[in-house]
Amino acid sequence: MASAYPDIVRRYFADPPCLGPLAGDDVRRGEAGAPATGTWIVIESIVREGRCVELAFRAYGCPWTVAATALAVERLQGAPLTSLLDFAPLDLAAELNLPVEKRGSLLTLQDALRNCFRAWDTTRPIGGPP
Amino acid sequence: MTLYFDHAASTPVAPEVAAAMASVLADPALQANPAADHPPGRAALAVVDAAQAAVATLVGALAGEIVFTSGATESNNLAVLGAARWRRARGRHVITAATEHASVVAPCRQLEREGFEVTWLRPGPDGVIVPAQVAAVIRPDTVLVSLMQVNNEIGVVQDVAALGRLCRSADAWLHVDAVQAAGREIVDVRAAQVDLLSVSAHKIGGPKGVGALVLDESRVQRLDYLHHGGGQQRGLRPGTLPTHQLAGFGVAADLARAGLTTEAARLTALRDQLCAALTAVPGVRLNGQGARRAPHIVSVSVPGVEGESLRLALEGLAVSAGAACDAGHGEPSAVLRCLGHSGELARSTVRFSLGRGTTAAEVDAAVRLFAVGVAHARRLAPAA
Repeated sequence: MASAYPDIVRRYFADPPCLGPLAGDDVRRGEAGAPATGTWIVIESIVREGRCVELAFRAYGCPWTVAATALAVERLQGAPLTSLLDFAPLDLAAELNLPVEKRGSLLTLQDALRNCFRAWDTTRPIGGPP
Repeated sequence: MTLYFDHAASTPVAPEVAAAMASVLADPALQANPAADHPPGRAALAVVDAAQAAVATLVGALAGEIVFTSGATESNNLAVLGAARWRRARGRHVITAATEHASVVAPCRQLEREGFEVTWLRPGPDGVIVPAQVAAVIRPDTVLVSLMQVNNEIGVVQDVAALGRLCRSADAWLHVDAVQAAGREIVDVRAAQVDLLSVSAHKIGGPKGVGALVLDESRVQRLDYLHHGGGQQRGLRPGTLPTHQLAGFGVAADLARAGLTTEAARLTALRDQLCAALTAVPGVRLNGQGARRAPHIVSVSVPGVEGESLRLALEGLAVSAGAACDAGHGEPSAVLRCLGHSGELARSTVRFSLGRGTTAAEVDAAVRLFAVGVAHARRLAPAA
């Protein structure tokens, strides 16, 4: 089973960048999922002047979930806060060679990113696309 | 280099077994069909007879009571379906456990579809089905009780002798899946009053693709056939016998019997070493604690980490999540759910199983890899 993981998943699983927790009073978090469902993702952030100056994650889930979350958080470092809303985790599926049955974890990642945004900005609606 | 701790799934073929099989395959005098009535056929039959005698001796049976099959799955199917259907005029009640191997559970489900009533026992928190549970549900129309001697996932040992006495007094046939017990525990169909018993070659150092169903001929003369064909093996399991496979099975049975006491003691010491070290890792729970356990299986659960990630973190170790036969189904183990584990804890369970080649140094190395892997998996997961 383990040999089915592509190199990128193995790399981000074995040595994930941006692994939490973050320390400090100015850390806010967003999370989604639950252990009982097999996927639970926590995104932590420090935002200054509208930018994510620090992002970190922890993930309870399969190696694909860990790799996808690590990849997303790495790419969002330093990005505008609104990027947490705009980032489309499903775009990672091809890059990670993600099996179809694992795509639900990307939706949980999207929810966690959105909830992290909401931890900073409760004024903007964050529903689906218009 | 992967450390192999999956001997309950399949243990490597012993060199003596490989040599015996190669010898049969290469010997021009042993190429005939063992069912053929001519000198070359009788020479091949002698190989079969020797294997029957060896397997019979391993389990306390007579040579004529051995029916060779393609493996334990077929043995279990033949025992459960064959016995219940053959005895259906006497009654239509069967007793088994939710913690049995899939090759017993699935035939019992099939019997339910055929109108049998199956009572599904659930073990106590230690994983054991106690004879009193069987006594409470056995009835005059119970035709078969099917329970394993050693649980394949957590290694707990059931009191087969007590079950045998109970079933004999009720005239219910007792089928025992002894796949994990053979070669590690004393298996004696006569002493334990077992009517039907399943064993597999590749769990004791023999080749894959061959097993046996043992029938106490004083009690079980017939079963309802699963296969129809020639009259080999009294028609109970027709088909040309694979001479070279049986040669290997016979040698493996001889080796298992000869080394039973010393190997069981050696494995027990290694198992205890492994148990102590694994459970010293904070939070790790031993499954089957408090019960008598077979010498070669250690099952532990790791709360707070996801099962698939745990297995990748332990990639240097060849271990199982549970039964190898169930790998990839994605469903949490029924055995572990019966012990009260949540779905996520059942998925984060690891079975180590030891075998002939396992050394104390390998156990130490495995524990180091386990501790590092668990620590990594825990770092990834949010704190609950």
